[in-house]
Amino acid sequence: MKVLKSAWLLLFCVLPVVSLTQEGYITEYEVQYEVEFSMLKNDLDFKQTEVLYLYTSPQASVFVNESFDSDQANNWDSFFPLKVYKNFDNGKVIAIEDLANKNYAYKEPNVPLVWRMLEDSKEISGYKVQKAATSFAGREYIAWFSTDIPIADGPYVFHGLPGLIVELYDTEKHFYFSLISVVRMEETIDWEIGKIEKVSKKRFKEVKEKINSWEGMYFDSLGENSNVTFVDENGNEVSATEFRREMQEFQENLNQIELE
Amino acid sequence: MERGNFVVISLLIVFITSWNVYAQSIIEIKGNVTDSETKKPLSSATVVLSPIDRPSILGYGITNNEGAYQVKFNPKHDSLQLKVSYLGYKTLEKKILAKSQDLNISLEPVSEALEEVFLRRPPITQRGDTLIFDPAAFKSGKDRSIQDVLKKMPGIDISTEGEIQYQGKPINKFYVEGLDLMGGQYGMISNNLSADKVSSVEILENHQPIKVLDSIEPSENAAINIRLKNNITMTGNATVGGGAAPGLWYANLVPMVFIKNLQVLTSYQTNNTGEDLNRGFRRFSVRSFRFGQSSDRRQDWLSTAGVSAPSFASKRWLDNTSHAGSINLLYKDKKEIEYNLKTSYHNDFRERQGGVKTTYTLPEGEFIIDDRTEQHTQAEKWEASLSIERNEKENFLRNQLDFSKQWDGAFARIVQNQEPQQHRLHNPLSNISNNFERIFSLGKQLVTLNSNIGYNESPQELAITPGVFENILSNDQPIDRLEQKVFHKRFFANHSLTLTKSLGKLNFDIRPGFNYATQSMDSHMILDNDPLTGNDYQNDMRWRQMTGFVRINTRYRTDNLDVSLHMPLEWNNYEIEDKLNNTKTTESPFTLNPSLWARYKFASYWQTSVNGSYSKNYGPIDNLYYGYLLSNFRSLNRRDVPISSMSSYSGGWGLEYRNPLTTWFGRIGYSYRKSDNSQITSTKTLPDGSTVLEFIERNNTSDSHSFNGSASKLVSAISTTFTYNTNYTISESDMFLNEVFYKNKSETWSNSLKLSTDFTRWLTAEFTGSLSQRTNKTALRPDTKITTQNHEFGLYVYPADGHTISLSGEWLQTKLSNEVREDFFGDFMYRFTFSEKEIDVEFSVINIFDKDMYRDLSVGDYTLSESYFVLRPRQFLVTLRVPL
Repeated sequence: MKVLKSAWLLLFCVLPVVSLTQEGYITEYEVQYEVEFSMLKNDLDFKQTEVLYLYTSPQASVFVNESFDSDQANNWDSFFPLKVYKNFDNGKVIAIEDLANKNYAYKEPNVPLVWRMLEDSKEISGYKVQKAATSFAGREYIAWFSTDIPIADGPYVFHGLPGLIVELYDTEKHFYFSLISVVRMEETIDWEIGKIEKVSKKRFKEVKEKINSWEGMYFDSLGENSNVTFVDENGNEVSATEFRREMQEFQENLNQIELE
Repeated sequence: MERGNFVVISLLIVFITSWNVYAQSIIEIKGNVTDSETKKPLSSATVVLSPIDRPSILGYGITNNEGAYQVKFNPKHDSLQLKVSYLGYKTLEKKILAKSQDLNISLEPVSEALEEVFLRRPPITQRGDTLIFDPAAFKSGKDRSIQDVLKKMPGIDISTEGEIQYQGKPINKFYVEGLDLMGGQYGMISNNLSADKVSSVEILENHQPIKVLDSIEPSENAAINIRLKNNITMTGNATVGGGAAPGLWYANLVPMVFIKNLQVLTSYQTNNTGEDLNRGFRRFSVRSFRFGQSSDRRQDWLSTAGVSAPSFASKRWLDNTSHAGSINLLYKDKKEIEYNLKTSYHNDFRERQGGVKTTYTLPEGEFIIDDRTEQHTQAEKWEASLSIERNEKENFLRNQLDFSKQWDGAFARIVQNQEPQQHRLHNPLSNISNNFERIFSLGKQLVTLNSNIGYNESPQELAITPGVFENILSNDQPIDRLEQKVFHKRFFANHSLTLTKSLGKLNFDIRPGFNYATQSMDSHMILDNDPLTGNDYQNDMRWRQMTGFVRINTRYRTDNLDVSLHMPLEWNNYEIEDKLNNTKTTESPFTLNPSLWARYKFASYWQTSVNGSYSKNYGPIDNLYYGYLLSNFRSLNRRDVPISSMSSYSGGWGLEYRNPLTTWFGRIGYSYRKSDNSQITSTKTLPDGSTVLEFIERNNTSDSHSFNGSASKLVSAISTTFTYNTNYTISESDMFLNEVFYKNKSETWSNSLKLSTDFTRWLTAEFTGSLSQRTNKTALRPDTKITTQNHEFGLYVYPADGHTISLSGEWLQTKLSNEVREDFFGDFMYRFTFSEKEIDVEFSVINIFDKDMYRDLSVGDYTLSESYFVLRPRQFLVTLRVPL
């Protein structure tokens, strides 16, 4: 029966979508989420937290790692460098990330998300929330949303429930998003995407991997005949190659939210 | 696993092929959602279908950009609950039959859209240069005023006087809803505004109060803006109380009203319970003008014998009878002009009793003087000020007219090595001043016009019976009554014009101006009703100072870097005229006193700053007089030398870290200062403690190095704020005592730790501890090391709703070689709150152990003192506090 229901939802959800209208992202509300996450694959109990921002309206939304008011252009320390632009008029989700000072953008292919409604309900800080499940990029997610806040949006790429997502986590609880606040802003924000390099998601992943290893190459080239010394986390001096390998290992050990 | 997939796929196939069979039970509800008024389609509206009796969701849809939705599902019920919601519209809920149907829905707009939802409000949020604190996250049951809550916010410190500091720097404005009603006297608001009326506290970092200068003149200081929950707020509080042993009264009525364009605060306070009313009226360094300065400071030429007050809370020692009233009004009209009227009256009578045994270490040997003093002071002051301000983006205008009158006096009785003596002092003051400033743009430049004019006069009188300094004044003949009279008048007029030019990130201001000040001082002594003749004992001085200057300030500012260089070039003309001797001295030095300051912000939470300066200053001239002046019973002074000069060098470095996410705040810093003086004070101290001060021409140097650090952190999990401060200073200076030169060195290291915590719902604790050590080194005597400790704690217990019990204590210790002085004080308080109206009834016992005296030890350059101070006895007090 469960299978049947999800199959129906799938059919329904595939229906509309895809028209390439002029992209305008005008938002009215600022939604803050706190995310608690396991940063390292080999030490999943090591939890980090960050505050992430969702700017939303019935037409569009933008998900970023820095407050709009912040004087910085980008939060380099963030574990979530990807900006997610959602257009609710045409259902398109665009993801943008700065890789080596260039903005790469791709259209997220795995939307709309297929949500399964589950029977459970509970209360979070006075808001009645209901449970729904979906899967995205290799992880299974549980979302708790509230129909009392009629914003069909959520953190990261997640959206499309009949109410705002109040909590969202993957079934292994590596990434746990919880809603902090929703504030109507004094003035609407018109987001400009600016100059971007349009690529496919597959190509984007390739570019990202290449740039990570390119940075390693850069350190390699420095190594032999310069005064730069490399120090590992224990304070020992290491060779450039060693350092590069450690960097690579570190990169590979990062517990990325998207597994595939 | 494979098998499972296979089952799913085959089920799907079965399901798709047998569509018609299942279609019986599947229903489809579709339609459009529109605005009931404009009939326009609403996109992203949510349509949810649930069973009647349960909140679970059977099916849902979200409208597309044409407002259309479609929901398909298997209902299993006869009727359904439909819920259609859209932001800014009234949610529609109705019962429908569970059958396929076309259902068009129109929603009614509501006037209030969804403004805010806070599930877990973060205690601190950051928006650009503004940090927003949620008072609810810091407020505990015992807190009443907003100041009680401000104290606990990380990064904020409140001095015992009530001055608010952010990151160690005083705030430059205290706004309520963007309006500055009280100017520097914000203590009145912060102490009396109920924390419950406040929706948020905003810290405006690097706040420039004058809008015209916003992008031109950056500020290092922050401002606080209090946001209120309601548009019209009537608040404040009334506290009345009485008590015994002796008869005690206490009243504090501070009603205030905040409306959009009008803010009024009135106050009446009276008590004899040891609360210092001046605290509420204290003016903190909040500048309303860009260049203007205030002038009502009285130069105190004379004083009676006194007793220095203990450093702890005044409620334990201040023997007073005080009254104070004030009216403050601020109105902002439609043209954005702010009118601000303030007037206040104080009357304060105080009594102090104590004694001091001083050991003087002089080149001639050691002498011990034992004094017992009883001092009464009467301070009476009336002040009024009227100001008009227009603070716009293109134009700033402010004029302020101030009047004040003081009728102060004191009486003291002193027993000095068994000889009783009486001192009587009058030192009234009248003052009037006007300050005008206008800032506007002229072409691409900004021009500031400033005019500051004032006049004050103060006739001062000191009478000492029996007289002193017979060896100098009366050839060793006893004097019954010695009177010293001084009449001091001062007029000044300062005018300047400032041109500010902005070249992108670089700003210049060039400020030519002219200051004029003239002062006169007449003084003479009366010995047993006969004026003492002879020019050595009288003064008729005129001091005139004219300063023409050009001050050049250069400022370079980017997002991360801020550098400013000040280059004031001054020409001074000093004229010192002695009318008695008919002499006139003039001097016209040029000075250039550059200073540099720079700050760099990096890695989002860090900033570092450096500063350095050199200056050469002359004067002041108003301490040059040629006849003796008896400034108190033990000192006879004069300064018959040419004008002095002092060169000083200073520099400093600081590093700050603040992370609102982790609630860590910290800073470290170093500063250095060195000064070269052309004159040194020649102190001649006699074995009876009396001192003749004169000045001699001799170069001498003083310098100091100071290191400081501080860290604070809010640990949310245990609701505790920790703050640690440390300071180490080493300094050196010259002393010329009884014709011998000495070098004085001192080393001071002080540490303090403060924590406030809400352990559980029913217990709050606060602790402040400080430990400091000071070592003085001089060739006169062996090194002295004095260690002082002060530990204060407060424990607040909330056994049941509306009941608060507090126990607070303070332990002080002073240690000087083998001598130790130790005191412990304790207070108890029980408060009952009628929860509905927040009316508090408070019963308190101050000084539970009925300590009658406080004993202390202190070290001077060539003195060691053991002192005592008579404290207030144990007292019982009942007060009733009613929020208004």
